[in-house]
Amino acid sequence: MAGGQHPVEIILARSLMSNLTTPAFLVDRGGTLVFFNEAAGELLGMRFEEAGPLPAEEWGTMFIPRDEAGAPIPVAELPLTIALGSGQPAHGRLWLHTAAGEDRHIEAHALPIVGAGGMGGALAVFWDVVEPD
Amino acid sequence: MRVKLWGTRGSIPSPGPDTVRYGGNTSCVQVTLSDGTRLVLDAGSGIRNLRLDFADDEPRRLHLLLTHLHLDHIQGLLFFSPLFDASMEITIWGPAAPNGSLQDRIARYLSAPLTPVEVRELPCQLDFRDCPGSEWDIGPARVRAEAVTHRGPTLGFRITEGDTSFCYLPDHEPALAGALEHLDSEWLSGYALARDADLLLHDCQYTDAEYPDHFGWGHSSLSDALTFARRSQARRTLLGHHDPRHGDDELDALLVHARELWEASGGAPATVELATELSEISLSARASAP
Repeated sequence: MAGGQHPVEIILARSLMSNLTTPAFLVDRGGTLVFFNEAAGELLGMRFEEAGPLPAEEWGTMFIPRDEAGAPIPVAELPLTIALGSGQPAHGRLWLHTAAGEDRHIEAHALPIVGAGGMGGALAVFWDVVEPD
Repeated sequence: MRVKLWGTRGSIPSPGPDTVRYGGNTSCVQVTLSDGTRLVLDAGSGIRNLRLDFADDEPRRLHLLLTHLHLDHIQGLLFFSPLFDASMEITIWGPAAPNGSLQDRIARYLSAPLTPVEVRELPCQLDFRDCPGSEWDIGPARVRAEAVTHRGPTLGFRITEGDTSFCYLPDHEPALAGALEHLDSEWLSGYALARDADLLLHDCQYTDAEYPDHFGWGHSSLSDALTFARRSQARRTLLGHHDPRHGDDELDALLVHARELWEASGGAPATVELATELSEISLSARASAP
């Protein structure tokens, strides 16, 4: 964060996400979770105002992400972390354990946010997996 | 540091009997530093009247800093006489963009069929540079450029000499990110540039009544401009980038309303003014505390 302020592309990303009804996460270039929107809060059982900014080690583990086989997913292998580290989009299916005590099967798609100053951060949108009938 | 306003109008030059007092030329501001170093901010139509008046023994050098490449910020380029002076050294600074170098993007305007002269034909010693992501020095000043909320790659500038600072945000819509009253400062576009500035020149293209029809166009309403100025604690604020439809009488009324709002929020009315073409402001070093 330059001079205590987020880059403009992160400011605008948060503005966009605030207006989405799709759950979305936003991390800065250092991997700190700097925002998630109300829809994400509903899914996770916790509002961002309650969680606050969180370093990757915290947000990456607090919802106990697991793969399809139930094995824990390391923070470095979460779509958002991959997008931030590689500068490429990343997609994945995973299970989360929400603050409300529910297990949610979600699909996440993460995108790097690159501005004139280089990598500004990354965002991920996610939604419940809809199992075929 | 001296700041002279050569163009205070937004969008399109608006000459005529209704814009005589506040001016009809588009964005251009000259900043002269204590050692005589000249900076020019933006190249709207106001730049045509700018005279540099170098002494014989002075280096004939100029830095032109462009906030962005919308037409009202570059349309005066071809009418800026130093560009046609082979003895002049001119550095043009501007925002980086993924769709071409600064020179190539400016050349889209300075080329056929829009203009009779191409960039490569300009006789001055011309250098194009992307503004760096960090601060840099020009003469005795430290310059900081940051991307701000406007349409397309757009910078704001903060120029600091000693403990005196001028922040220039002529095209800025920070309210795109949310209600300015409630945003934490880290989410407030332009805040780091404007914080505690001695002089802030900020976009105020629209009245509050006009703004809802122009939300997202990249410009600010009066209330948002004042809220931004209050949040950033600028000591003195110039409201500019006047809408071309606003004549002198409308702007007089806007100033009265601005000062009422400013006073109601605890500010001294005289510290808010409207940017007026050809006005000049001297910024002195702050008096040290007793």
